[in-house]
Amino acid sequence: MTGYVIRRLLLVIPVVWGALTILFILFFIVPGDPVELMAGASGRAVPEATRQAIEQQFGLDDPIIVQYGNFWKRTLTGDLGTSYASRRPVSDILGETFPNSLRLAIWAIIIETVIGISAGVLAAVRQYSFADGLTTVITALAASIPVFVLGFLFQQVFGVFPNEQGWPEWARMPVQGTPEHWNFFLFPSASDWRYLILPMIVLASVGTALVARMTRTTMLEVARADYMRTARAKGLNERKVVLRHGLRNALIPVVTLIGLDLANLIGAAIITETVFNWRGMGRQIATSIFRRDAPVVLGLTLVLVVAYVLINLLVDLSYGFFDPRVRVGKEKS
Amino acid sequence: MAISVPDRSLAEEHVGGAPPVGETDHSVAPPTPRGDIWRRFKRNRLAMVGLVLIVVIVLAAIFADFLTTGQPGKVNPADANQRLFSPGHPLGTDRVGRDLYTDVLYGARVSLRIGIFAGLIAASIGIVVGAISAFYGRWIDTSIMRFTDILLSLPYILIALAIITVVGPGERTVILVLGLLGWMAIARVLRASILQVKETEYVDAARALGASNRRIIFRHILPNTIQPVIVYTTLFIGAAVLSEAALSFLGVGVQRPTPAWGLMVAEGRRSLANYPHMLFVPAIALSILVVAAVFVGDGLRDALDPKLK
Repeated sequence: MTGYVIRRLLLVIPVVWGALTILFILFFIVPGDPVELMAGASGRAVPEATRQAIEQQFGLDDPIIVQYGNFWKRTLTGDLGTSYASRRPVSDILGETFPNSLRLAIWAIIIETVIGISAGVLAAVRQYSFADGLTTVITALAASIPVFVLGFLFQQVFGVFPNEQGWPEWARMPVQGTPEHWNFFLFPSASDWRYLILPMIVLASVGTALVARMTRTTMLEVARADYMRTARAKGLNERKVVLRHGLRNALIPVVTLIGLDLANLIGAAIITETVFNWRGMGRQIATSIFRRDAPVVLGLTLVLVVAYVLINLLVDLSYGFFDPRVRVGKEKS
Repeated sequence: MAISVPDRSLAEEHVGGAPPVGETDHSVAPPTPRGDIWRRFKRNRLAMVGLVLIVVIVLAAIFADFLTTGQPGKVNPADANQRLFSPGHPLGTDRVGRDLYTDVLYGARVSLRIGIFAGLIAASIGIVVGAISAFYGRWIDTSIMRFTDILLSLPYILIALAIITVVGPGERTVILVLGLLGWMAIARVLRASILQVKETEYVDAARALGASNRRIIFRHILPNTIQPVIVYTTLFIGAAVLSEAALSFLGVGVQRPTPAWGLMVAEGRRSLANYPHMLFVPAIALSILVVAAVFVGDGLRDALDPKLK
């Protein structure tokens, strides 16, 4: 087991290396001059002396291969570089935006799993019932509306409209902004809750639909398994049969989906955070790409890629919990 | 024009994937695999609804010239901000007076082109890569799968943004970017199912009969492993249409004057408070197309999977 984990951890290295190399090359050929960005002269000519000073400070006059080497040298020592646009260390920007994104993502994943799995199980248990049809239609709809449209609709319906109608304070949702104070990392203090609700639901919407559909499908497959009949035959009540024997086996592909969907979640977060002006990594990355602020994009992406790979490792390891047959390392003994 | 591709029933078109059968006459009593698949697909009500919707959208796209009188994407400030059902503009106009009815019909062409071509690119790359990986195995397999891992670990929207800032936005860029970033799941699925089929007796038998590698691949293995690829590609077409909307929202999607549904939705958001129809008209068209693709994809999956009878 330990050997397996170590081997999997080592596999993180080529993935992270490859991902960042692709981005580095992309950013090296992106048109636009970081010097202009730093000198604050959008479009205006930068004095030659200033240009040389900046190029030297950031090593921009070196050939690409040297820059690439330097990029890894400093990244490996934990230095993520300095933003071209704001001249702030990328690690500061990361420290500011990472917790906010993590909170939003955790809440979205909680909604995805709780609502998605419950809806999927309900739909499967009562296959072809009204509830099943309703779940199918709602999930298909949720997965087919662009994230930003859902975001704007929510802002309009729960924020702008109640405001115009002069509804009481608690019924009006703020449409922009991030909670300032958090308790136990995850819980916004009292009134800040209302900043979280809309972006959280919007971000969770696509994933919830996918999880519900996947749970339904795998539950239906599992329902035909012999062990389900055995469980019923030995007199277990239906609830136990469905939850302990059915759901637990059906969850493996669902958990895989949640892990793989993480990349989509990050993509959706870029949009959701932009729509709701949420001070997270997604919004930061979107802005930085447009500003050609390569150090920020590369630094934040590094964190995203590492998180993605580690979570998928956890997903693989969790198979053993759901299905004893795939417990790693046992096959040899 | 390429948009005529899904005009035929998707189920019919894709049964090229079924094992070769000499006779495909549907009325003959013993059901052929092709007829069998179509029969099961037909039984799925949602899938049929999806198929009909797609056919309607395709027809609208093909006959846009006859169904409209205006010119797509034509700005006409005198007619700006017309509401639904206003004279001459059944679906209203947008902020600069483009007729939404005209633009939605012509936009169907663009959105379908994006979905289908991106889907074809993704499927072609996915099939080639997945097949190579499964056949050659060993270090080729390992390095290809590691490379797919790398691409999967990067949020596609991030690479798309970076690539588009390099080559400039536009319909062609959107198609290329979505196609080039969408093949990984297809390659993985195909690889997994080839690895299963490779071990079956009929492949051994073909090899024992002296069939060439090429023959084994194209006659025996691909027809039996292509089904999940078809399903994935159908679903991907919907996803690509949605991605166009996301890219347009960020300002790097299709550019005016070309009307694409995602672009129109992204433009309509600015008028949501006063003229909601500018967002809803293209958004509903877009969602119908995506939902239809999902329904058809699901229907195909159930129809192609003999276990789920």
